[in-house]
Amino acid sequence: MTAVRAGAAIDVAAVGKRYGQRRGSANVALRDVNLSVQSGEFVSLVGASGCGKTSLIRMIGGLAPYSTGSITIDGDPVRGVPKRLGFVFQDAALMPWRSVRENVAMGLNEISKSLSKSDARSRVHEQLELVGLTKFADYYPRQLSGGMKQRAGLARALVSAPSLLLMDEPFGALDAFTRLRLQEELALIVSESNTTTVFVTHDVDEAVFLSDRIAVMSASPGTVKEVVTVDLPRPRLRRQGLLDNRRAAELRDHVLRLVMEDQDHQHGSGDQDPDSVGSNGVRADEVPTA
Amino acid sequence: MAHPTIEKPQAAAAAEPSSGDWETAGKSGRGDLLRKVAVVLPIVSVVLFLLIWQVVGGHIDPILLATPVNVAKAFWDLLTSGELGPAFATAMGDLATGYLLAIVVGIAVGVLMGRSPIVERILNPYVNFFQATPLIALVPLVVIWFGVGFEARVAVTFMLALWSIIINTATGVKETPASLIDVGRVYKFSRWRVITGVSIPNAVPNIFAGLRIALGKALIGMVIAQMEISVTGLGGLIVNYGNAFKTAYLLAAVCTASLVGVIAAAILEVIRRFAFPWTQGEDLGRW
Repeated sequence: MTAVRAGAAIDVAAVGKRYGQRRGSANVALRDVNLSVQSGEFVSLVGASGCGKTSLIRMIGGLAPYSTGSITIDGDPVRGVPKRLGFVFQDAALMPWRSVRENVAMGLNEISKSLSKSDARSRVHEQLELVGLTKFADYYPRQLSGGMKQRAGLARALVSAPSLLLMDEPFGALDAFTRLRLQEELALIVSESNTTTVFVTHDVDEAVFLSDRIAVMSASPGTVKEVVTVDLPRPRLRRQGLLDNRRAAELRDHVLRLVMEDQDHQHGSGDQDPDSVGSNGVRADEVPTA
Repeated sequence: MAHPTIEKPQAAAAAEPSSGDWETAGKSGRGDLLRKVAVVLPIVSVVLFLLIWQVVGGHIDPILLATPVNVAKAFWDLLTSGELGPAFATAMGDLATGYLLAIVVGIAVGVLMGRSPIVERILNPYVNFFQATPLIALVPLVVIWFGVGFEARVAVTFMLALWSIIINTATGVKETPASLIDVGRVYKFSRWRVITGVSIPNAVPNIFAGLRIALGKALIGMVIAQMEISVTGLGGLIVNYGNAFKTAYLLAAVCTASLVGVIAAAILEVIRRFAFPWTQGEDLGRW
């Protein structure tokens, strides 16, 4: 169907972010973050809550500004939302007034002019098939389970065959079994495309299972502490015993230790969460609406 | 290739009988009875009320309280004498004009206030002031401005209905989840499409809540205006028959005014169901 194009290459150099600059009490959310992601790579951002991983992925996606440093995608500095971006949100973020099909079709908005109506329709159809939602195409989001909503969100992000896929804790709110299944499906889908993927999670096992490399972040100020290469063969299937694989266990323990060390340092100051601060100061999806 | 297993939607799962639940087991017979009674109960209540009213009313001076039978007779009398039809039409006309104007202006202003913090700051004092003011007190001023005709009655109806619509629309637009706005940004929606395609649809449930409240207020405005400004329509009938101590006719006119409200509310509900099926709480009839 879609022409195979190269995934985007990302370069994050010396990026810093401060917010709440009121009376000099500026909070430093990120400091001196360096990370480069190669074309077609799958990189996870892992860290305790408050390390700024959501802030970082929003900056890469042009949804939040950064204060210092530079972020480039294929050499172009990020100013606003980059071209050909797919973004999967924590809460799926489907429009409740649109059917699943219409929600997925929204992902084609950017390239709709270069696409005939029947092409668009067949792309949406293929994508729905890929995530197993064909039978639910005409349902409204509130008629779906949490796992199905995230599948629809994933289909919306992938339908335009994006060169960059950003995922912000997409499976965080799902039950354990649904999460495992979606991880396997995501691994298959992404490995068949050339998309570059950046994936935010606090689940170390999830990061090891999915990633080519894992960027472990520390908090206060948030920065990339260490980048761990996941040298496990693909395809990775849990039922073939990945969990028993000694190398996988080593990697998991290593990453976990890095995160825990940082948390021990942080003990007592973990209340403030720069993750919850977006472009408007407050992320509405994390604030209960009255 | 991925072979995702299809999950069951929650709604379908919820529709399955939960008779296996130990708490409800054995009580289902009683539950069925309650459900049947629940349907009949309002009807029994109303019939009983009318019966009591009829009996009590028969023993009271008909000027103080007419019996239901006499109200019905008066209603028929008004209908056949050709008095009720035009009054009903005037009432519907005043209500529809004032209410529709309030919907157009209210939604437009509400969207502006919800989208722009500056507009919100500028208009908030007035919205709060008029929301808190007993607007009926402004009827004499409306008469000075608009005279005693159709325009004045529409103005009162409009003025009462407007504020709930503004406030509810603004709330719904303002509370658009940030993640939905982000979706618009990621997929390159124009500014205009973010408003029309994200913020306004998000506000639809709030807007309808506002419209229901506003309808009640518009009805009050319409009747008051017909009583106090023009002495016409249903309000006019109520005043005239009240002054003549013809209580049965007065109550017949009041019942007709309720009928206007019921019809208007039904129209609103039909529009909501057909134009915005996704706002429904339960089954959407899609499977």
